[in-house]
Amino acid sequence: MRRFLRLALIQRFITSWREEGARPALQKARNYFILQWHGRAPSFLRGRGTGRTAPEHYLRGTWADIARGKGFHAARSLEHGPRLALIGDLNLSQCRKYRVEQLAEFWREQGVTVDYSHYQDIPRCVRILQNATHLMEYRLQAMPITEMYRYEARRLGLPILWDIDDPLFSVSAYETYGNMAKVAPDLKAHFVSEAPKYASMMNGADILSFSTPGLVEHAALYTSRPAYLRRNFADAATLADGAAAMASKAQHDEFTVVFASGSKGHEADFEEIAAPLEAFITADPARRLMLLGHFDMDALSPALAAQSVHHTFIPYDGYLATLASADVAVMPLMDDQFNHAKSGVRVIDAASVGVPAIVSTVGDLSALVTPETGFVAHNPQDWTHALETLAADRPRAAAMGKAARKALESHWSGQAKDHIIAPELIDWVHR
Amino acid sequence: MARKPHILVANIFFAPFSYGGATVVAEEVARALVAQGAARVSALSLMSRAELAPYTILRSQVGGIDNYLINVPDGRKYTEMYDNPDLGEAVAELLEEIAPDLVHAHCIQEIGADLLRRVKAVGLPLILSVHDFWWICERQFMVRMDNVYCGQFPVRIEACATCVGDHAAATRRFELLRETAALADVVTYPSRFALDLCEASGLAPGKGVVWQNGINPPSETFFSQQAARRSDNGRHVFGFLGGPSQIKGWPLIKKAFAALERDDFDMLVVDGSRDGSWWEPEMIMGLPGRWQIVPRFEQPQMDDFYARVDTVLFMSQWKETFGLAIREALIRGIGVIQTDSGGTTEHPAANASRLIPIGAGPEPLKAQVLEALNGPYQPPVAGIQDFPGQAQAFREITEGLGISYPRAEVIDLSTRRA
Repeated sequence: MRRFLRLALIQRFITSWREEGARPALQKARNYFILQWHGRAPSFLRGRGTGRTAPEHYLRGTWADIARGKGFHAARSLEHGPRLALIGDLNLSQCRKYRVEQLAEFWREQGVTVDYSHYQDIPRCVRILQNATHLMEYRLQAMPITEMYRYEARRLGLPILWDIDDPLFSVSAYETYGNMAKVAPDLKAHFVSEAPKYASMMNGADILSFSTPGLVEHAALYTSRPAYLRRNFADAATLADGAAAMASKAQHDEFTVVFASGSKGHEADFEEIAAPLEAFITADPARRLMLLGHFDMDALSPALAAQSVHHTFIPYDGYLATLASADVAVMPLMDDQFNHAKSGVRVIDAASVGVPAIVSTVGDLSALVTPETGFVAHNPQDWTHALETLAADRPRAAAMGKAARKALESHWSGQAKDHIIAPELIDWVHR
Repeated sequence: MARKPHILVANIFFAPFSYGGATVVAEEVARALVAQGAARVSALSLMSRAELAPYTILRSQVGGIDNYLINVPDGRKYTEMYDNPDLGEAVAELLEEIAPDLVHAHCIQEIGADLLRRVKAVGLPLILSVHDFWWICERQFMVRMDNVYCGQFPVRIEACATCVGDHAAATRRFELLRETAALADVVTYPSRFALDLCEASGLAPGKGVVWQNGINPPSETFFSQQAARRSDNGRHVFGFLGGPSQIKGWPLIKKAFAALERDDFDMLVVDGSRDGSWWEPEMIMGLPGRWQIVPRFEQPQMDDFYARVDTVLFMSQWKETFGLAIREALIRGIGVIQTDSGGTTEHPAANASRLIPIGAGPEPLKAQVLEALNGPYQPPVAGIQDFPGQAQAFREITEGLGISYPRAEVIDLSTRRA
């Protein structure tokens, strides 16, 4: 209290009272005491706004202020080269890896700076837009906060690319997606009802990128925006983790077939080869089926279940180590519109640990398989033939796995070539 | 042609949030450098919005100059106002992102000294500009609690004990700022007075140079506008741009005008606040002549204001470092009645015998007011520096730090905003 009763302060108060009147003098004294009491200092800045605004109004007050000051629109500068702000739904680990983290790695290797953020981290999303030259969006649907990011990007003069690796925008794909039969009806209804929000986001972008040729083709039914291919590839982490998994691979006598499932509902795909696969496995007690990830074991017959092992959801490095213990990976897909958009990530995973793949003709998987690295099965007989061929000649199976790994390193790693990324997308980033 | 250097100017305010004389200087020099084709300029300034994340950065742009606004929280503590590591973190991030060639710490109160450390940590040349006494006085203007100019020369922090809230804290501030200012490669001052006082007080001795502020000269149509008004309305018009405070000399003006025995003049009182809260009609009620409170104006509207004025009153009761309004008036053929207030007197029209001493009573002012009412209009004063000239001086100072500018292009002397 003694510091408030100093002579200089009392003089100041008296002077203020005399010159400005009682009310301003008391007001000033009150403000001074409040600041001192809370240990705060006076500021020339007038604090504005309230911390209790809705997330989508994060920028509203600032926009209004800078618009009043005629500083709303801010052109971008490419003087230091492109700088990409990548905002996406990073909740799904596989999606984050293949469409966000490896894209960031790809562009950094091209000398382009990349910052990325999960779309729900509003401060970070807004922050990375400020010095960006381009906005890339991954797997975003129209909602108040994504519309806010779009508005901010336009304020900053940023061109916008929208990217996706599933036909989330497509009612026609979801409604005929066989795997949906294996999930709760409510979930399917949810996907269908969300599709227009993805379509809306897609149609508001300047340019689109998709993970497979099938997806590019299907998107054309929903948009007239320019659409290009950017395939998933084997990034440095995949190649390194895969090499580590191969190095620690244990020798075993059993012939192991692996089926990996990253999400629910893939039992429907499994059913495509259930009969030839069961016949193959149960024909020899030294054969084993390994199931990785989400899978309903009730979908297996008792005989097949007896020769099967199920590893539920595991971290990526553990997944690769387990995958490496297999002799061949099988990747059947139901023939429906959704699966026509499927990428070859499972082939990449298997090849990274030196495991050959048998794939169906649906989707983009067959693009990654050659006679040296695996089999493309057109019918049940082809599945049987491929499995029997590899089981009968295990050195050949191992050689095919090594060839798959080599092809991955030389052809399917992150490189600025047309089969990985359309040249138009590279041009767009440098414009 | 050589690549244009990228200059980052740090100033507490910057367009689109313009406020105060130092901000005018920062903005106008930046515009002049850009208009001269000499440099790319970006700005770093502050804002305070509760809904934004603390210390996040938003980019705005006016006239091709990016302004990176760092959002500071309300209610910062005393130490954070002059040395704030969170703000320093944001500065470091920005330096990495925009990679300037030179940083100009122009008027960095509330941004704080950590900016200087961050700039030197990445090895960039650094110019510090001192505009008031923030670096040597926690009250910024060397005006004591009782509203009287402190008058120390040099400033000795030991003598500040009766003025500051916490003398130990004020001493730490004083020492830290002196220590940090020494990191600058060059320290500029708008006047000899400011340089001498700050260096004598221990602020980066030997690093100082006088870098006079510029002003916006009158437009081509100003003098015809002024002549038309003077012929239409024979009444002499005074202008006062300060606030209603003792330190700006308001009590003195009020007493001097109250004692006038004539009322054949007008007075325009400018409310310099952002919300029109400084002046109330009752403050000027009953004074002779016709008085009018007018809102603050921005640089583009300056001619419209000055065309209405014949004599500016500059009754500051403290030693200021420059005084933009005095130069703006003199170059426009507007008389100035002023106090002997430090750097405000370092202009070509200064007459020592007519400078009113600080602390004088109303009589000398009343006498000069009567002379103005009876005498001829002040002719325009030559030799006052404009902003392109100030920008040119900046280039010369920074060339000494290894900054190269493209060879001179045609210099557009009309770099004023439309």
